[in-house]
Amino acid sequence: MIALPGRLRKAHHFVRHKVNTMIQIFRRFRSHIAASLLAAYSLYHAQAMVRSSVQNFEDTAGLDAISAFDGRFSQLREQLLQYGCREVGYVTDDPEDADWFTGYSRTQYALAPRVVDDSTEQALIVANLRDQSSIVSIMRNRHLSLVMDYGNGVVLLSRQIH
Amino acid sequence: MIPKILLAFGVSFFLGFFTTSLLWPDRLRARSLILRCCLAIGFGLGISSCWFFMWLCLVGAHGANFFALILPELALTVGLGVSYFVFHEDLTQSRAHEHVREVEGKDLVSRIFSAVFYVVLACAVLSFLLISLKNPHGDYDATATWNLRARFLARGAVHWRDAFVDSQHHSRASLDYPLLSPPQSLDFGNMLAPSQFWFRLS
Repeated sequence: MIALPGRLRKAHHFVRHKVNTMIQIFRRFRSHIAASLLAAYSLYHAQAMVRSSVQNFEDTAGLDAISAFDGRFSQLREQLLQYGCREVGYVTDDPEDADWFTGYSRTQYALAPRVVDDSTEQALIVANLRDQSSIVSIMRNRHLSLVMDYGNGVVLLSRQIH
Repeated sequence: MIPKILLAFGVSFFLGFFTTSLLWPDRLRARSLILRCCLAIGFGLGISSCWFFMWLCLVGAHGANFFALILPELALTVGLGVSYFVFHEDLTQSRAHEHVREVEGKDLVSRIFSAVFYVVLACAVLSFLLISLKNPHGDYDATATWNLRARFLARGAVHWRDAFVDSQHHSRASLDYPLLSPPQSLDFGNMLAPSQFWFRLS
């Protein structure tokens, strides 16, 4: 019973010595450890970034959607340039969600510097359609008439004058 | 096409580099080449964009020759470059000593860090090139804001201000976004599609 505290003290000193040694080693090399972790983390993310970019590059599914969108509107853009039209209206058969805004902003991008106004208050209105057949109901409901159908869901409309 | 992009970027870069270097404190100049190069990119693109807006407001939108934009910028770059090399001569000696001391003093961790940095930088550049080749117009933000404004500036002639107009029915403006990125996109866009811009303004 008397020897036990002595052993405990010894054990305590031993553990304290070991812990202090480990702390000293850690303090001595902590900058190296931190540098190694940072380097490993950076390299891991760099290779992940390259791998993701290569996969995306080789994936033919998402082939430059903006250029395709630009191509759809090229004839209309030239036509509007000839008309000297500065602002056009916009209609679509897209439901008003995130896709709607993507379609609208791409149409604006394709037709710039013509201002695309999300309304039918302009003299000329551009229709960006997923389903070509929906143009009939759009024209009827919004009181618009057909000016030119450019195909691929791109239609130029005008307001009906009453 | 590539020489034109390099020219557009190079003029802005050297403009920024010479300006940054001339303003840089002499005592800090010795080991600051990479830092000055990094700052030169942003600084140069900013100066070029400011000059582009000034040119657009003064004469650009009214059919002025495009060389009226590029030649003053080029002349300023050359002027700053000559000044830089004149002052540079005085510092060559002290810089050489600093460089020797720097190479001797590099420890293993610094070398490893440098190597890792260049590997990561190479990966980032490769990744950027692949993304740019795949989507030359950029992602959503690019077409909805930056490149859209650049198109207005390039194609808009006297109506270029429409890029920054907001209204009830269209919200292109995002007026809280920085103004100086679109002119730089335009600089590159202009070089990529000269018929759309050079022809219109010259």
